[in-house]
Amino acid sequence: MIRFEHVTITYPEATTPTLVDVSFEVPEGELCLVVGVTGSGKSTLLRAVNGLVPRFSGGILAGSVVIDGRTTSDVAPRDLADVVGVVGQDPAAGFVTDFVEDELAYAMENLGVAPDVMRRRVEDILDLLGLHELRHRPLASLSGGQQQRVAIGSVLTAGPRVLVLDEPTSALDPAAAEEVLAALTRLVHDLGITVLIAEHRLERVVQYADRIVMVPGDGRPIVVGTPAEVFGGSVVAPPVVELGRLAGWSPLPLSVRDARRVAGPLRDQLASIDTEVFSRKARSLGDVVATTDGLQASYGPITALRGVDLEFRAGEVVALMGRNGAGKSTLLNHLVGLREPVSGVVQVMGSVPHRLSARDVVRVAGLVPQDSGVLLYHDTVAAECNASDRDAGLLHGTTRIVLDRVVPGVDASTHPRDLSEGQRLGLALSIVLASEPPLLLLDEPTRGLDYGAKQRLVEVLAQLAADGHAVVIATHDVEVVAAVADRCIVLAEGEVVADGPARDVVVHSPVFAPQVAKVLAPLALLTVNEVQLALAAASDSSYS
Amino acid sequence: MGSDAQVTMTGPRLLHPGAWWLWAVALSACALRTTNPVLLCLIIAVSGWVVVSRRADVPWSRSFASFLRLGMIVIAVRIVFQIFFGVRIPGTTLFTIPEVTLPDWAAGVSLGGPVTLESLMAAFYQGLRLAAVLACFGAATSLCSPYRMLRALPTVLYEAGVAVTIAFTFAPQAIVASRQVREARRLRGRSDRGVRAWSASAMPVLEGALDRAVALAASMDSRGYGRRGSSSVTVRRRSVGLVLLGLLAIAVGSYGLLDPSAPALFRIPALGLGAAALIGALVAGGKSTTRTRYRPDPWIGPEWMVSLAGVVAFGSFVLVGRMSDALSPSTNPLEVPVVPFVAVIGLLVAALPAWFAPHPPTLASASSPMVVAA
Amino acid sequence: MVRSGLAPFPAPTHPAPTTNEWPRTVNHQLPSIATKRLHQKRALRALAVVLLGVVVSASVLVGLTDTASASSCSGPISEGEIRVVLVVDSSELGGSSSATCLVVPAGTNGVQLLARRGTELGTGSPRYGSSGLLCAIDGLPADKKVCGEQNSDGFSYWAYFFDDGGKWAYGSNNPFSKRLTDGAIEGWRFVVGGCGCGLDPSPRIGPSRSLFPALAPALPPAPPPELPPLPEPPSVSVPIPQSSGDANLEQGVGAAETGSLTVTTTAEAVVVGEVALASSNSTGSNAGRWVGIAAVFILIGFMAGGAWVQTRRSR
Repeated sequence: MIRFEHVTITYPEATTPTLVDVSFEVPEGELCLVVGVTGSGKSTLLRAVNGLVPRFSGGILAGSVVIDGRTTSDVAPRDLADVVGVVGQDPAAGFVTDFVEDELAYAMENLGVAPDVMRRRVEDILDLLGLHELRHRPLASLSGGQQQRVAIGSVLTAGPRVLVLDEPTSALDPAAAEEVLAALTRLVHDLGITVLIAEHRLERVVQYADRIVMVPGDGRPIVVGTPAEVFGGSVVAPPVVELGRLAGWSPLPLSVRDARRVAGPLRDQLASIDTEVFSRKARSLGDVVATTDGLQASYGPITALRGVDLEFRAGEVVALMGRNGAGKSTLLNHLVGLREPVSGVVQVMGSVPHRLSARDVVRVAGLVPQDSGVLLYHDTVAAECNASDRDAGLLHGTTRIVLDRVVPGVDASTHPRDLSEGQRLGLALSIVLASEPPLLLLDEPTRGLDYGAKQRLVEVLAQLAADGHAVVIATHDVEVVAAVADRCIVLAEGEVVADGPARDVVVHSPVFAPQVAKVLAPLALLTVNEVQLALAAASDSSYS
Repeated sequence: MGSDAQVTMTGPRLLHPGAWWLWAVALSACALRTTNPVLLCLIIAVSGWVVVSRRADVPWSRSFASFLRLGMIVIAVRIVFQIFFGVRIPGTTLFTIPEVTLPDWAAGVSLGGPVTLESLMAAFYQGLRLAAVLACFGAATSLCSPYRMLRALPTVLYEAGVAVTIAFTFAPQAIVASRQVREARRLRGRSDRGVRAWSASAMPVLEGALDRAVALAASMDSRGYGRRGSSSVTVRRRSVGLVLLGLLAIAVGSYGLLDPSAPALFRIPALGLGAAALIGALVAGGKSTTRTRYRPDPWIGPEWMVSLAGVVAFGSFVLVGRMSDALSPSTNPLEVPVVPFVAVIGLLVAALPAWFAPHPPTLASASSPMVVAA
Repeated sequence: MVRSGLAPFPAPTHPAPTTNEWPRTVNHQLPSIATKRLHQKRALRALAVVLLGVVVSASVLVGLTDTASASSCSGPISEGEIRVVLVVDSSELGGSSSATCLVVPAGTNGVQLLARRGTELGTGSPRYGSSGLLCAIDGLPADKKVCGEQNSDGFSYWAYFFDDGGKWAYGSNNPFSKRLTDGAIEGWRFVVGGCGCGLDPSPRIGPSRSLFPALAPALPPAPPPELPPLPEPPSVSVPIPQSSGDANLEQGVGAAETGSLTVTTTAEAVVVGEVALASSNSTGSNAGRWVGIAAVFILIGFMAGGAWVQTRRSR
């Protein structure tokens, strides 16, 4: 169905090609997962399937890409619309119309499908993706998961045989991600559509994948094979696979169910370990840095937060979890003073943040927003660092040093928009850190980060907490929470539903538990690292 | 299709955009016929009332307030121009600005001098007229989805219309993006007020807009936008040539109508030739594109009534114009404007669409609980 | 995920924070987003108040005119005043030609002169169009909708002339900017089918010193008329110089009566067509108009209130 033959792609004004001599084939009816670090060329690969690279983005494509017998060098993307459907990262940016039903019909209108056929197909897609209750809704009022499903539906109505998705679940909470992935697997299994997905959060998708294409980047050859073949030797792997490698299971389990079936002996071995030693309560907590007292916040008639009472201390890493729209971003905005509460008091370091001037508030609380690009508005990385030094009144070069610690190897003359996701997040983080606020807030920092970048972020946050900052991170990524958080707060509909040590909150929850916890339940172990330490402790105690 | 019309007539739906535009154009034609401030205020109030009653819950429906603000700026600018550059017709002097005598070659312009009440009132009336036209235009954009307007266009104009539609969505997105960028300035320790904040937020907003435009274009391209169908190159060239010829002929004909000294050939015959050429281009071009329409908006009872309401208002203004000169109250000498009863009734008829136009689909009518996307 | 070593961060430069030790002083300015909206609302309110003030003062000041001066054209004039003559020829509209002598402050421009003439004769101020073009003098032409028409023959408009050494010169420059000096003579003539240029016919009354009343010791000596005088008509004792291009002489002229103390205005020669007077509305109909305006604004108030309620409910 999809065949790449010796494809080399070079972008205009690039010195080295992005993809070199890529050849692989995806047969019909498979779900193929494309993995690789950010900036390695995954997006290029996906867009080459459609012909958007090089026709839309410019560049040179050597070799040929053949989709269902049609070569992309002969046929324009618009004429391939009935064979390939492409869904981008941000579905809202690709919406043309205002309402769900019109968006679903848009592709068919372009293709000149007869009106009664269009009616039938729209009804079919509404049923297939579970959107029939949303058909008259304006697109702007939908949640992230619903928008993603509408975007998938809008390309499906043209009846393509191939579906290409670029990070469809990165912005979604776990439940919405499950909905989207369930819809995709139903398409693959019931309709025989070939699906090509690029995803960073492998732990969600790898169990459904029939084939993996790993793009290492830097022009190295790609690796194609079944998940067991590819992850057997690679460094980057989901936690379940790493656990399997650690425990020596063969064949490597890819899903929690597969792992549980073989995890019995491991569970027995670790049964006697007291998992509390792994908690980071050992780290001494400092004094209270920020409090909210009966915080009530609203957007117009919608109440976003109701009576939230929280306290944040220096030296702890707090994870804020909850589904989209539960009020996480609102809470962070109030803590940094961007919004004024309807009632209740927010205090950071003894002062009320929304009454402080901008200069004073950054010395007290710092926020890295969801889209870190809105913080950056200079032309080069060097200009950003200099401006940050000036704004915070620091010695010239301080921000650059912090940046090199957080994300090494960033070229000073790059435009911030050309940086990879991880590098851009690192730059925004170092700008916020430059004035050393005792309260540090991060809103969804893990979106678009691959495992390596997430690991670096985890280390940075742990170090910051050790230095005495209070770190609050709002995230969906349960693996990051398991790796770094001391305390976990769960919000739902503006109220605090759970607030306690991360281990207690996360372990027995079906939605928020990390893969290791799900595999080894009822043992309260969160990461592969902890399992490793527990195994070492168990073997020590078995000797003694 | 008959049963389809029955169902759509009673339930919540969006009115055909052509009906709203006809109504808005009729109201703005009324506004252009008068400088009576009372009638102009009533036109603004009527358009606002209909907008608030019948706008859908979508992002582009909140633009009416911006048009009102723009109207107030227009009035203020007009008055300031009158104070500094206006023609010095004598009257009741309010205050005097030091006069600057200009050389003979600029004898048509006066700078400074006594500012009279009559001239200020005349400027206010003219500014208010412009503000009323802006309010009508704002009402039309708040009530009609740009995309549905696009779909109602003939297919040969579709691609030109897409550019306009995307431009329509640029402004509200840019406003939201600039607010985000200015808030982000505060996160970096800089103030988010003042000229510097606005000018510094321009570049990131434009970059973001460019990124979004590219993403939108890629999405549209991937979904088949711009397919040519099987028409040949000569057919396409012929339709483009006809369009150009038609536009040229209409331009010449418009000039001929406005200039009394132009020969008779350049008036009505030129306009007729232009119209014929354009219609020919539409017909020829319409055969070559292969777009279809999914559930086009019907033109049934409510559409007729809304258009009729606008036409009735315009007719009442024409009638009043013939009967008296209440539509142009004199400012020199200044007199209290007369409020013509017929025109007021006509404008109240133009407000009737707030009741008999169908309700737009609101979140409450869509059968699922409202989800807050924070 | 395996941890790797990372160089330690530079230690924070401020001491570990405790609530009672926090040394930074708090700046209680209010530049936050909420107060910015407040400033916007205040600015809009101020603008609305200014506009309202203009409207209210306009309604109060309607009907005010400036007072006429006390000096007359034939008597002694005060310091800073000058005597000028204004000729108005509305014969194409069924009116007549008239010449009026007026005493005005020095530096008056041609437009103010016209207004002063209207006040003195009681015919009301001239009507202007929105672009500043003069539409009507003494209410002629009476149709309020036209102002300077153009048709296939040419332009119909009020043409402006000034005295240039005893004959009329077409005034193509701005009457607003022309400052009058003592002894100046201005003329306006309604032209039908003209070219809008210097070839248009000038007023039938020619400019001469004889238009000024005799008792004017400061007048400069009159330049000799350049055209040969016509045979005297029986009713007038002084020969009247013929203006260019017109054979018929109008008789109803502001007479240059020697030795007479009368003001040389001929109010009776002017009134042929309708005269638009300044305050033609009686106070009774004015009150009626105010009632109509109030009713419409009450209606607008209802609409605004209803719209506001709907917005609150739906937001």
